[in-house]
Amino acid sequence: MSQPTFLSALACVFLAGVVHSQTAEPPAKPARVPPPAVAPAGSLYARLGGTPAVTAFVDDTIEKVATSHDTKRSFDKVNLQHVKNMLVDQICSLTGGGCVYTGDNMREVHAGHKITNAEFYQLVEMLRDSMRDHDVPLAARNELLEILAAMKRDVVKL
Amino acid sequence: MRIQRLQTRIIVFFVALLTLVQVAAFVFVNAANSKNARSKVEEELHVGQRVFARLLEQNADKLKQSARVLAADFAFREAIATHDGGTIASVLSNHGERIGADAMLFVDLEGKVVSDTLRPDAVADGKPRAFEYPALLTPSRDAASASMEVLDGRAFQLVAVPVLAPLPIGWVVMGFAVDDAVAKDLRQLTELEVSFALHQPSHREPWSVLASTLDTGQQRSLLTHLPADPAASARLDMDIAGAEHQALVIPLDDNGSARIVAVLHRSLAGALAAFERLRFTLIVLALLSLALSIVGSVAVARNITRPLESLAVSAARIEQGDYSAPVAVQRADEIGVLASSLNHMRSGIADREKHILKLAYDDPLTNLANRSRFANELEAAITQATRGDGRLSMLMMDLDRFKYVNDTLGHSVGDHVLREVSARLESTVKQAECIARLGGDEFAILVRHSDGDLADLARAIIKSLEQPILFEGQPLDVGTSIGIAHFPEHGRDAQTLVRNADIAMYAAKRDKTGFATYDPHYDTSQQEHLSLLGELRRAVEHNELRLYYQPKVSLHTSNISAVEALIRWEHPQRGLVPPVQFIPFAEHTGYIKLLTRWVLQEAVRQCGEWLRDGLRLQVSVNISARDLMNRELPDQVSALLSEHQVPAALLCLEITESGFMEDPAHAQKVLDRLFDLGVKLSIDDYGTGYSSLSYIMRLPVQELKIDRSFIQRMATDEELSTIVRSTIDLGHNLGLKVVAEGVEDQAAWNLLRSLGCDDAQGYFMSKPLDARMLAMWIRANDGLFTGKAGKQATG
Amino acid sequence: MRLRIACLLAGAGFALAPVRAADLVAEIRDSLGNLVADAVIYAEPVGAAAPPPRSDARATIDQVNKEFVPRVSVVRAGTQVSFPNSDNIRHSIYSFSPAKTFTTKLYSGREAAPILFDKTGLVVLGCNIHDKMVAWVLIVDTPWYASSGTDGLATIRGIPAGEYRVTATAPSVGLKGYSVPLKLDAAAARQTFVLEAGS
Repeated sequence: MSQPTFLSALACVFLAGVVHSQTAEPPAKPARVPPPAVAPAGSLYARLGGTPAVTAFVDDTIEKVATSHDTKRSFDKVNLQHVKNMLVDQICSLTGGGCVYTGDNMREVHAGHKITNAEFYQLVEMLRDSMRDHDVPLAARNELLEILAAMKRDVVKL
Repeated sequence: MRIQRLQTRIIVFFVALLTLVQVAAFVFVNAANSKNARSKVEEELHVGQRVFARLLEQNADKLKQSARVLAADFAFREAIATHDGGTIASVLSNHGERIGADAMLFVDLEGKVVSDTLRPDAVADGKPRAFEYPALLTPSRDAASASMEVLDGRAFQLVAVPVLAPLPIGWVVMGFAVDDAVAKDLRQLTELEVSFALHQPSHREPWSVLASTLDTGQQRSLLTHLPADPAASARLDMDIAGAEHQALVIPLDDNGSARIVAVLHRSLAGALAAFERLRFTLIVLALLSLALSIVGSVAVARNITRPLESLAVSAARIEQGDYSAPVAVQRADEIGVLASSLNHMRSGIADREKHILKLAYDDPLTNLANRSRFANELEAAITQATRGDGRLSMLMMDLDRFKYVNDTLGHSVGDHVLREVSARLESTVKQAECIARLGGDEFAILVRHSDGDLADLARAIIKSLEQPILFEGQPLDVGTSIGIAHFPEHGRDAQTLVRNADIAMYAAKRDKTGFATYDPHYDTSQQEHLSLLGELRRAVEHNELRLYYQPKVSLHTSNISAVEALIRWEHPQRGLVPPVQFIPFAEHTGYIKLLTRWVLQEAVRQCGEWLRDGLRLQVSVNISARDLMNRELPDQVSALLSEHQVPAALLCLEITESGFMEDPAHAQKVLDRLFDLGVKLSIDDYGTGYSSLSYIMRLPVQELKIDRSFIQRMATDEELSTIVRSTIDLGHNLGLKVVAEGVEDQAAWNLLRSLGCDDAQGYFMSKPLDARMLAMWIRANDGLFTGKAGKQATG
Repeated sequence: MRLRIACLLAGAGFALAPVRAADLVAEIRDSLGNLVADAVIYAEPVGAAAPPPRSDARATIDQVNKEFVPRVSVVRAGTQVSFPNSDNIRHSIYSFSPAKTFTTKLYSGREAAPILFDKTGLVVLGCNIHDKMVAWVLIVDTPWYASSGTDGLATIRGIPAGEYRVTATAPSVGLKGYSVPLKLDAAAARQTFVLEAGS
């Protein structure tokens, strides 16, 4: 993954965390840029397969995670489509898809869920399987997983 | 037309059979091909259907996924909740572009279309329209429903997903247009023609095409085939622009009265094309195998019929009598068996024919040739001699006294004699073409290229038979008489030669010369005899025959109580023909029966006449041995006697001694019957025949007549007179009356008187006289004749 | 409970004036005759003005186990509603209702600022993260309101005598409200409402 993208992702996350709503009015936040129809050439996002592929394997992964016995706990009553949408946005923004992720940062998202290592790795496995099922090339898969692995700290809370 | 020849039949049969098989196979394969093509297309249709369904499903999934993403989007929901029409429209539009959806709508809770990327103008005015397919808008929060609908005259695959904020505020409807491009994509995947059609029963023309891979003309054609009620998946056969298509009609979702169907079809031509090529190959193969079969069956047929023809030829040869050539067919199979059987048959027939010929042409007793063969040989020899310059001669011979041997000593002896004679002939006659036994004791010898008169040969034969034949040690004397006839002097044909040889033989026998060569002189008597026969017949008819009577005078009393009737012939040309000239001839030819009949008739009549005139005379009639064989004789006699009212005792029948002996068994019967009638019987010419005393004893005779040969020389020969005396005594001892024949002088008369003989007959007393003269002589001499004084007979 | 205390306080303030007050008990049923829980009644004085709201009016709607508690609440316009988020996980609550359109993130361990509900009307709250979380907040401009329990009874205490327009509504169960004019005197009043389906 390219450093600038990561940094900008971090910046986004930070920004999002700082500027959370204090007033009753609709908060001002950076405009969300949705995943594009055509992925920017050369980007990891493009190599992953662009919006159709990412949407597909995210969709698949979340469905698996939300129904798998070991991981479904933290998805109880959760709006899965929202999660999928946000995750696609995030991956898109992290992999140079040109998106602007407007969701909460990983720490905030997972605060209170007490995600275990096991659950995290399960998710990673499911994501890997799903990417493979959707014919995402090995290199791209590994790159994405690397990126997400960096978030483990924020996700897993013991 | 009935095919007769086996070869043709075999060929026709095999060719017909093979043709039938070929045709049947072809028809079957053709039908199977067609069926295969159809089922292949059907298979393709079903595969196509599955692909199509899969494709639709994938599309629907894609739409649903996208719709869900949109429905969860915060900004979108915000825009909807805040009735921000512009934002709604732009979000729909962007989102639609992202996945290539052709229609994006937002429908509110009342089912009113709030935003529509397809027909944006329709929502511009203040009166929003109702969404056409409310059924898609399910109340369920989680479900996303999908179906195929018509929007704005085009077919769309639509999905509807509820939007929550947090309560449902409406539905996002997204759709992919189903147009010609989609149809073409489908065609690429499935290799089937794809059409989407809409059924609106309320319309005048209920069917219309929404999208298709076909051109307009073909589409029109397609529409005509679609069923009226497209309820379920249906298989159709369609004719589109002249080509046969197999189609599958798949009803897609229906909402309300309209219904969309997908029609997948494939022309059979393509599927059949491969089979067309196959069919061509099949035809070629069929023709080839037909040609081969013709050749093969011709070969097989010939293999069978050729040897059969050869066998037929052989059989024809055998039929013709040619048994020489063996059947030229050698095979291991059934025909070979037939051929070998034919061969065996051939040799069998040849053998049997030889045997039959042997039976036909050989005399079984002596193994000499028989009459038939001799005749054939003679004919053949004559034919050959006529063509060439050869001389040929034949000898005819018979055995003397053979009958005596056969009758008295038995047939086995007779056979032995014949065999012995044959053997001696064969050993003596070396140069003969053919030695044959013609029958009985008659033999014939055919000699070719003879030079000389065969006298030496005849003499040799006679010499060979001089030696007695031994039978069980007992010697038998057998003599022979031989007649010789030469070709061509004595006859140019077989019949003449044989006859002339026969004549010569009889001449030899008669003259007791042993052998004689034919002389035409013999023949004249034969010829004469032949004409004599005719004349005799005439003589009887024309009363040329007369009976003369010679009296029998009693030596004791000089009474005349009996006469002998003697036949005389007054021939118009020859004058008086003595009996010796025609009687033996008559006896030989059997004409004697008729003569005897006439004699009896005349004698009995005359006797009757004399009786009525007061002259009681016994009339004696000579009958031959032949007459004794005639079983009807007693009846004839009886009839005559009653006809002329003559007592039987006045008729006497004279039979010669040898006549009695010829066939004693037969004679006995007739004699007994004659005896029973009361007719008198007399033994004539006693002393000259072969009689046995024991036999004589048993004969029912009353009289014995001593032969003239004894009487005529008795006066000067003491031996003879002794015999006469003994005979008279014998006769008397047997109770018989003795009559002496041929009394010609006084000396004989006197001697006979002294010897005690009863009656005398002869020229001394009277020659035979006619009836009138006899009557007169009897009146004049009855009781008075003593010899000297009684000699008043007219000469 | 807290709402009730708030209401009582407001009512107590008002009760300084020696006015005769009585309770109004409303029985709310649906068209099938079933008792309706979570129905809201409120009485608006006719001709007279309602006492002004307290400036420090507070209400609380908690998030417990990924649900709003209470599901249905009534507040006087001008009330500050806080969302304490008793769950250890975050919520992202929002409303698109015209009476109050807002979003606010409730992180675990962090208190979020209360939201001022100043317009009358019905506000439907949702959570972006947990889409089944729904709450109804009816903002009224009268201190006299109550919600029904499972017994279908909502009791407004200490309503001074006078003429009122009493409205009953139960939006959380899809029943639309209606108003009836009611003259209240010192005696306790009882009113039955039969609510039809709709919104």
